[in-house]
Amino acid sequence: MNPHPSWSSSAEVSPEKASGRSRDELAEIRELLLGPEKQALEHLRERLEDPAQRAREVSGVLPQAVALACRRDQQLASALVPAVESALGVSVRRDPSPVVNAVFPIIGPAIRRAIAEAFSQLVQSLNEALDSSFSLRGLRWRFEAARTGKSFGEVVLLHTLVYRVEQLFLIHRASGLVLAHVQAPGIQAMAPDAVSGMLTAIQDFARDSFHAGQSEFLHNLQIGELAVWIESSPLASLAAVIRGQAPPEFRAVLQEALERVHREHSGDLEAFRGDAAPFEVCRAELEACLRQKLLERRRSPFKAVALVVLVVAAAAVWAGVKIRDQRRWASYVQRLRAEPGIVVTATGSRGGRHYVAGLRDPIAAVPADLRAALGVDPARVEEDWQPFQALTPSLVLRRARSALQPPPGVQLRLEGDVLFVEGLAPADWIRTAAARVQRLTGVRDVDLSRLADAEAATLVLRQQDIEGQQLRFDDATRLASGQEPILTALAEDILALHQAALVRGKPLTISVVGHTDQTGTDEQNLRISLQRAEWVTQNLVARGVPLHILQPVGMGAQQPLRSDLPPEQWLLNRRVTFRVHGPASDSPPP
Amino acid sequence: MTPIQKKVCLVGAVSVGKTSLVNRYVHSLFSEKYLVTIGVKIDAKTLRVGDVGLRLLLWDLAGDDDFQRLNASYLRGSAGYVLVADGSRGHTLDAALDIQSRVASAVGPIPFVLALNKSDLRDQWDVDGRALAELAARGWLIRHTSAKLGTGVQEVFEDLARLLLAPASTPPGPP
Repeated sequence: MNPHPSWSSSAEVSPEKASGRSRDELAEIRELLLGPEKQALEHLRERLEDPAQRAREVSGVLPQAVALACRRDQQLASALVPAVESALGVSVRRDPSPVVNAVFPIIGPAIRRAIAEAFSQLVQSLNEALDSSFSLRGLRWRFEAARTGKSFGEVVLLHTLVYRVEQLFLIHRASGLVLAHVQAPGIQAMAPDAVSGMLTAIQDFARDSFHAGQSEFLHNLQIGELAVWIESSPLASLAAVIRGQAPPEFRAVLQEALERVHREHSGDLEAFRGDAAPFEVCRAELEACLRQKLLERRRSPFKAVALVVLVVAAAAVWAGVKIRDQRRWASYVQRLRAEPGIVVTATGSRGGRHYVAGLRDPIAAVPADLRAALGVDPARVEEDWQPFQALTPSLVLRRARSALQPPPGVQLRLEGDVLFVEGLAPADWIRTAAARVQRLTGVRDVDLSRLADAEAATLVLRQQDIEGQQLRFDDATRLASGQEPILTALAEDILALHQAALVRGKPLTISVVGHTDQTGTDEQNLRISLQRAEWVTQNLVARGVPLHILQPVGMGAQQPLRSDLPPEQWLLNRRVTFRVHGPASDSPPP
Repeated sequence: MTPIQKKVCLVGAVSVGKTSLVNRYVHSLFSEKYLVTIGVKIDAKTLRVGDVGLRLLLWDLAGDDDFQRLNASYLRGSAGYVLVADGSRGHTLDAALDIQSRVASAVGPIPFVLALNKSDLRDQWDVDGRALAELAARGWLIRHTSAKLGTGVQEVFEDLARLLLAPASTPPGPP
């Protein structure tokens, strides 16, 4: 389309030239007509293509845009959360101090509040803990608490305090109005503004009364154990109510706090007309001055040492008792294991008590006796014994002994499973012995062959004793010297033998045999020998022997002591001998 | 929100009933013996004026007479004051006028209210109505009060509170 057809039709030129010229002209015209728009378009394109330029422009409208978006809804805030979070993370990683500096004013009061709360809880728990303590001092403090109406924890705190800053007043010096007031936890402060006014009035009163200059001020008020320390600057005062003895350095703390307040709020102080809101931030500064110091309880080292010694001693005693107990128990168990007739199957300890279990032959040793012998405490022992019969030789023997009840003089001996019963025993016991060892566990057979009748043996012995004796004579019927006691002993032996024979129902006869030497005739000798036998019989009867058991016999010289005796010893043949017929021997009397 | 604090003094001749007025208005914190010892007793009272919470610190200053002069130190920093006179004793109003001029010279032109106390003793009234009219014409705010009956007491402090909160208007000038 050609908007200007008249220009091409009026020109007398070649087509090429004409067309080239018309292009130049066209461009010129276009330039003339559309130049400003083109420039504006160019400028716009440059702006859009240049990021730096675009950033500069966006930065100009960004705050406004953000404000608008925030006013509209939460979308922008939600969209920014991840970016802000990661930005904070990056910042802290790179250098934590900017974030720390930024949050410091918030963290300080938060921590102080947390501490104050914790302290209040501590006082509370102190109350509860000490409620149950009944030491003399505790009772005294409890009495004091009841008397003064304070809580027990408070009384304890007061007694253990070196000092405690209870309240702080930041006071507008000219009006006496309170700018800020803080108090320690648990402190009941009465109308701080009125108190602040009175403190100011007192300052004025003191100054006026003693004609002090305006810059002078009352530094210190002391009321019993309470003190009010006052620091003043031209526009404000800082008064600290202190219980106890604060160190002098604390005054410097107050001065510095007041100086900081003054520095940071001098404008607010000058413009103060009763609105304390600008001084709200000073509370943190004041709270930092709410200090306290508790009494360091000096524990006597002696007590501590004594306590340690006591504990160690107690532990040592306990360990000693424990070890001794353990040793006794071990040797008891060892002893049980060694004991015949006892089989330990389980041992150990549970619930602080020892226990042992197993099998026990009723004839075996009694565990309680073993325990007692070793000093094991029966209260700390549990035992469980099942009965059984042991085949240990010593136990079998013990069981046999228990069944037989052998009299002294009888020995029991086990060879394999044969029980040998040996020795002398009363005839009655011997008769029943065989029956008693029937069905004895561990004994297959009993050998009683070496068991003898004790009384019969005694009789034999006595008989042998009597028959072994002889009485020698000097003359026909005169005993040789020293033969008298033999006669007496003989009489006693014969009497005893007589008694034994009576008990056993056996007949007893004793031949009293007289002898002579070879001198003289046989007839003489026979007569003399009989005389001797009769003389002895009479003398035995005289000593209590019954006459009917004695049988005097004369043998003359027929039975010399020895046939080869030389004549000078023939005298020895003048004698009386005895022969017993009866209980032990079956030889009939002659 | 923390109320705005204002220091308010009660001034007037001896026995005009300043302390009685305060006692009527607040539950007193301190003993009255402070008045004879250090010459001031301070109480506090919170009240609302419109949307604003106000905490009045009431400095009850010892009566002014030949023996005990008004302590100018106690006036420092005051935002306003209550001038108290005894309606049954005319000379206390003269004293009040004298005190007012002294206060104004000490702390400047700050708001105040004149409380004509003992209004329960109307039969013994000893105040010239014309003098009062003249004061009112000067812009003084005058309240008849009876600490004994409680009438007008609260109003005195509320009036003063309103004056304290009013945008810095010209306070009534001295006579």
